[in-house]
Order: sequence, then C-alpha cells, then structure tokens
Amino acid sequence: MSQISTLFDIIEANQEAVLLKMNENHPVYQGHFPGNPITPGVLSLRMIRECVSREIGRPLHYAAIKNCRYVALIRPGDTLRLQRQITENEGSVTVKATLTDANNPDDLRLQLEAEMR
Amino acid sequence: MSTPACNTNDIISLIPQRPPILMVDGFSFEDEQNCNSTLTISGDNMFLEESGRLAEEGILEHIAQTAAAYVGYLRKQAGKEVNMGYIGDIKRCVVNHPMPMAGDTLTTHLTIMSQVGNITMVAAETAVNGQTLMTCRMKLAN
Repeated sequence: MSQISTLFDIIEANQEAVLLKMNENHPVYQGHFPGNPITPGVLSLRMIRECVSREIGRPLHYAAIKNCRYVALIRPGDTLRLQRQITENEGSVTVKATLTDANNPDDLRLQLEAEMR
Repeated sequence: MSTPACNTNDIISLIPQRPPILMVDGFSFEDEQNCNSTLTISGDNMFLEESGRLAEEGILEHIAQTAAAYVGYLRKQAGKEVNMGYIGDIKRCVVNHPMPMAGDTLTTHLTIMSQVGNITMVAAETAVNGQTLMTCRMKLAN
C-alpha cells in the first residue's frame, strides 16, 4: 500500500456521495506545515482519484485536469463529502467532483473537472 | 543571468514544506519571470506508488513547491520571512504517462505569468530525460 493511502478512511460510500475522514496522525502533517497541519492540496486530488478508481474497479491516473479550484483548507480530522459525476467512454473517465464538509454542504472545499485513464 | 542552483539545504530556507513532503532539491532563479528546479526521486518518496512509479500528484506538489521557492527567494531578497503558501487553482494540466521512477530526476521550468500582491500565477513544464511529463497553470496564494 502506498504511504498516501493511509491519509484518509472511507466511512461510507453510496450513489449519492462518499464520506471521508482525514487521518490526523498521518506523517505528511509533520511537514505540511510544522506546527500548522494542513492537507496538501494535491492530496485532495489523490483522494478523489482513489475513490473513483475504487468505483470503476481499476487503478486510474489523471490524464488531464481541466480545472481544480481550491476554495477552503482541509485540516487533519476533517470529515468530508465527495460528490461525483463519472462518465466512462472507451477507457477515458470524465470526472466532475466537489468536496464539501460532511455536515455542511455549503462549506465547499474543492471543485474538480478532470479526465482519468 | 541565472543564479547558481540552490541545494537542498538552501531550499529549506526558501520554502515552508519539510520532510516527508519535500519535493524540490535544486532551485535556480533566472529572472523575475523565470525559474528552474529539480528533484531526484528517492526510494522513500511518499508519492511512489505500488507500481514503483511516482504518482502524478507528486509532480503537481513539485511544481507548487517550485513556485513556493520562487516566492521565498524574492521574499528573502527583500529581507522578509518565508511564509506558508496554498494552491488556489490548477488549470490546463496535461499529464503524459508513464510517470518516472525512483532514481529519475524531474526538471521543471516555471514561467511567472503574473504576481499581484500575494497571488502568483505560473505556467509550468516538468520533464524527465528531456521528455515532457506535465504542463499546467497554477495559481498560488502565500
């Protein structure tokens, strides 16, 4: 298992959303940043890729990121709701996704449009 | 004319990130619009996947830290402290697989599109052995 896979746990996954919890003891927080732990923005992209890979049933990789907009920070221990629209066409997977606070859908953290393969 | 390349020890003074997520090991400032960086991928890099290849998110982090080093270099020149930075957005990102492996060296060129207040917009190109791995636009706030 890669070191990053332990950054978060999937609490629940259904058609509407995936609920995630950030592992507050993950070593990445020691370096990002010392004394002020914040989830690196690129690891939000990784979480979405892992969730979509799991759903499609094979490991996917980003081929293109059309737009990824970071709206608010994700901190250790946060619980998040991933909502996604996934369209698969000849091996290419188009993903539109948002990450919000699990309990407050108005608390948007990230918006993504990307293509995975 | 570009400055001599900084090594890892110098880079620690330019960016706020620390191990295990230090993703730049060489940096040179060309001018206000251009800078370059490198990273030789170590066997314990946290972005290595089970396949042995670096995850594409690791290249994005390398680009973000290159931009952080650019901002940190200018702040240091101005006698200011290096502060924390955040990615605001990533656009027009194209990824060319396969990804590199441990022992490979990433080289990145950043073109600074604009810098207004604490917002920096960059265009990045990262290559390994002369082959382009990723191009993207990134907006950062510090």
